[in-house]
Amino acid sequence: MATKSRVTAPSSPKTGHVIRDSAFGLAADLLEPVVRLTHLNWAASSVNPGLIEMLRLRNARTVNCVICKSTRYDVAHRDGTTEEKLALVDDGYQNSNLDRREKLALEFADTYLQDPDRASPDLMARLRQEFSPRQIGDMAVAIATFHAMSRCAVGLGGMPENMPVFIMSPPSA
Amino acid sequence: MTYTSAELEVGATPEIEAAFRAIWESLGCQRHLPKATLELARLRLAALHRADREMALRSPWATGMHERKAGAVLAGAWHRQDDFDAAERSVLAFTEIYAQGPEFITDELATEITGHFGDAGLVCLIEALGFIDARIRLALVFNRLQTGD
Repeated sequence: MATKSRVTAPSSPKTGHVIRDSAFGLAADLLEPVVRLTHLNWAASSVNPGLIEMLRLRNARTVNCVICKSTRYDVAHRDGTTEEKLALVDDGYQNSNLDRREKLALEFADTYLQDPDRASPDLMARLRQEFSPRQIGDMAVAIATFHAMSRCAVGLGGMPENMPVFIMSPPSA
Repeated sequence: MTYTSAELEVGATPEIEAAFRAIWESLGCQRHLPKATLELARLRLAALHRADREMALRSPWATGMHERKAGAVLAGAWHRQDDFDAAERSVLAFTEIYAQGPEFITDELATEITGHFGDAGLVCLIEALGFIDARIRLALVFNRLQTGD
């Protein structure tokens, strides 16, 4: 994995926004739509932040984005998410003590991440027993966004080999 | 209803659904990369996903793309054809490696893209591939979830 960044983030003025001040700020024509979506995935979702955090971390560990793996969102902590629970969002989660709804959400994420062409109507039937259609849609867009953004972060280089866990707020609008 | 990335609707909260679509639409308005070249990249991703409906789609920004090139990209034969320019070749090579995993992108591939389109072009390409890939994956998932097709 490239540890040297392949682009230079925009110079001043800094905005204080985690996305606008990053290399993503260089592609100005895509920037505001990306900022808006990343914000809304947390702020407007019909799914609780703790479950979104689990989906985000499942993606981060699948893509192996070091920064994404080390990030924790404060809204998820306030929703009751603990490090002990997040440690279960790993291979073998199906045999963990996560609840049925959480395991199902992670199975949905894995289908998207690993083999989208093998999604089954059976999975949809089980999803509909636990989630509303809107919640399924919100989870789908959240997983898709996390996947796209984490792959961007890895592809642009500059990824540290490891870093400690840190807490931040979701991106503002 | 069967989806391609162009018609995809996943039933999300309206604000979220609209924001997700806005990124797709911004790809057709951006000025960092030639749109016909981006369309070739989209078709290559569709072929690598074996997403038949997506392969048949021509996005709204495909104007100016030669259908002969589209056919070569879909068939994976673009390497052997003379009518792709250096920038198109760089983008297609980058796309194929991106599809395998962003960790496989080399400094040489990235430098080729910045040589043609600058740093902004590289960021735009990698974001565009991410969100194009996202819509292709979601279309595949939701088509199968709903119909088993």
